[in-house]
Amino acid sequence: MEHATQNAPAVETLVIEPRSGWIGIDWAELWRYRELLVFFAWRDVKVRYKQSVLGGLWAIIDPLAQMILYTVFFGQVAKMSSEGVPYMLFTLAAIVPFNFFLQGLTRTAGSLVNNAMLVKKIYFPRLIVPTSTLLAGLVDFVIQFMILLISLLVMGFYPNVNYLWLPLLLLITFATGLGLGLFMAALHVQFRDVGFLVPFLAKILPFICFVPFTTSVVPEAYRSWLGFNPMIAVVDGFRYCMLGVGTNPAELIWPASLVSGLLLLTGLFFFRRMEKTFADVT
Amino acid sequence: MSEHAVKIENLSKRYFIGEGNGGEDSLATILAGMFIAPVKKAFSLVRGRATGAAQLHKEMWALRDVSFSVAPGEVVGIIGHNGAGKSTLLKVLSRITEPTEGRIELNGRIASLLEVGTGFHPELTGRENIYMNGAILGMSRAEINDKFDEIVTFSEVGEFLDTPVKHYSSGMYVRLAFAVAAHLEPEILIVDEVLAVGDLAFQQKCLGKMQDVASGQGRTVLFVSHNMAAVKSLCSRAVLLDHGQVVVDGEADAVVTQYIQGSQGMLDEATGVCQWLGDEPATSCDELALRSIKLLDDRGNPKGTLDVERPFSIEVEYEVKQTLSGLRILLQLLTPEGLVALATTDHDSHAPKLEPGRYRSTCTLPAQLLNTGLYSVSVGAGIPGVRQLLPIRPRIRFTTTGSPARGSYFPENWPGALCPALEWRVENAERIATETP
Repeated sequence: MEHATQNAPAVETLVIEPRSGWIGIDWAELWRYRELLVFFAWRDVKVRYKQSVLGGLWAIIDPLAQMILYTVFFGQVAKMSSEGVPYMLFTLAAIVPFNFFLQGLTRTAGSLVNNAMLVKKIYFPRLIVPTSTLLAGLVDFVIQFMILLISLLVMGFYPNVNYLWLPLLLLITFATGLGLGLFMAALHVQFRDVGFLVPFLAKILPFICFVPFTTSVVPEAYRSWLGFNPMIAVVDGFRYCMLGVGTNPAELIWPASLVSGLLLLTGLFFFRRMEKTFADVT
Repeated sequence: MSEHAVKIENLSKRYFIGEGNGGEDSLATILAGMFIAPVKKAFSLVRGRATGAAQLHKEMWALRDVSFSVAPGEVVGIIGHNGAGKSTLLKVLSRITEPTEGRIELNGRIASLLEVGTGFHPELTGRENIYMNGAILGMSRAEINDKFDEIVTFSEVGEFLDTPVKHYSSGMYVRLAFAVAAHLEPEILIVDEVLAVGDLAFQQKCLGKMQDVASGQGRTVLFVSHNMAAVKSLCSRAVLLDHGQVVVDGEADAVVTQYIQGSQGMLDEATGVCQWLGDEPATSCDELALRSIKLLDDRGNPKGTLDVERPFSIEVEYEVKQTLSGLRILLQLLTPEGLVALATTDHDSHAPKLEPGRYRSTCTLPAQLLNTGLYSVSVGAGIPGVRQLLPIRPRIRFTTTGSPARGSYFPENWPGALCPALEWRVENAERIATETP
């Protein structure tokens, strides 16, 4: 024939049957589709800032605007404590990881609905859609993290051994974002209410997660409970590692890991359970 | 090699249809729907009754107990009128949706050409979309690299490869999409009505490619089409579906013949006849029912292929069930792209009042009017200014042959939805200017 396949793949047998109840995750299949994961993430990044004048600059403007806003209102007007470090850095160190979480969550929640055409017409592991959406946010994160690093260096805060916590904190952010995102994406398919809920969450979550101000407003006795919101552990952890203020991640890491791990796991299974109805409902 | 490429056993698929909105849409009902219904829904959800946002009510079996198997290398046509379950079958086969009951065994990689180009992103270039679409269809990057040049050549988009596809014409878009999918080389290929798009030359090329895939490379093909000529020429075997069930399964020619003669009536290019014996929602209402549409050549014979050099007629037969006044039958001729090439009606020729009975409206189209290609005829009925009885919808198709290049000696492809013979006059402008004082 015109193009002989070098090594004819062994004929694989596939059985299609109705499934019910909880369905496990087909890791082998996800691995086979790993290139698609990368392609989708790359597409999201490439397309995101198309047809906008400022393009990728938005990735920088957004956290800086938040930083100024928080500094003016919480630092200057409300005169809240930044535990002795510049208020700008105090909040920027929190905004950068938190933005990755919130942007990721927002985009992931809408990912299936936005890709409805694909979901209705072609088979591929559906988990690829929300996962790649979240991964695409990493590009913005890296840019914002660089800005943060440069600001820190300029102001005389240098990298130290505590930075070793950062990968773990990032992992917790990822797990929390994906876990919640999977719930929302799956629910969004059937209940468009999610579309209204997400912007609402985006408004209140920064405050619940202590992004604009310090956790020291919480009485000492309750401080250790904060870790059950994994994003508080992340936000305060970033502050601790980079500025030496906030809570030592060691104190919050266990509840935070537990909760984020549980969120991811239940999110995955919930998504798999809802998956088979996606094509019929979207 | 295993015995079956595809083995379908007792396959059923049930859909729930949301309850129809019978009531009037007053602001009060809309507001009540917006604010009270969610509360009710929330309560019933808590009690675990409803399963979704839509109150799921009526059930409908899109497939019922379908069983057949396909041997490796076999090309099977799946035919049936709209709503027979063909698309559902393909969706279940390609794992887009799950069956309700039954089992399918697939031996080999399966790929479907359902709606080519759905994976395309308008902002990405042709090149990027080739990789993207390939990945969605399950090709690895290495595989796409291997076939990249072939895909580009086949698609004929050449110089526009690095242009975002949003700037492509619809023809280029489809060609590129088909090219990617056609080079996927799965063991089992599912082809839905993809050939209804693109120009005739490209359709022929696609059919050729499919023939290659089927005969040359020995792959299994499931081919869904309304184009009976294509089914006959490509498939050795055909399965006829009706109301979600297999009616006949056998040699393609015989099944196609049975289908054409069947009571349901349908779009058919081969015969130029489309009949409805019973009342179906799509072709009837309380006052009126379509009975047949025939395409007749200048000698009065029904034909699916017409010569542009000769006049032909479109004959619509219908039954008036209640006395009607002001009825008109509407007729539209559509190009393959779905553009209305012309619209016409018999309004003027109707008696002011029609008593119940069977009527026939015939429209004769002159010779040298149409281009060559595939046209569809849409037929509808209504009382203008009062109401629509039957929506205007494509109901039959035909192909035209001959030379549309009127006024040209040179045999060539000629553009245009219509190619009427028009009058030309050529004269020497200088001589006229000097001769007239």
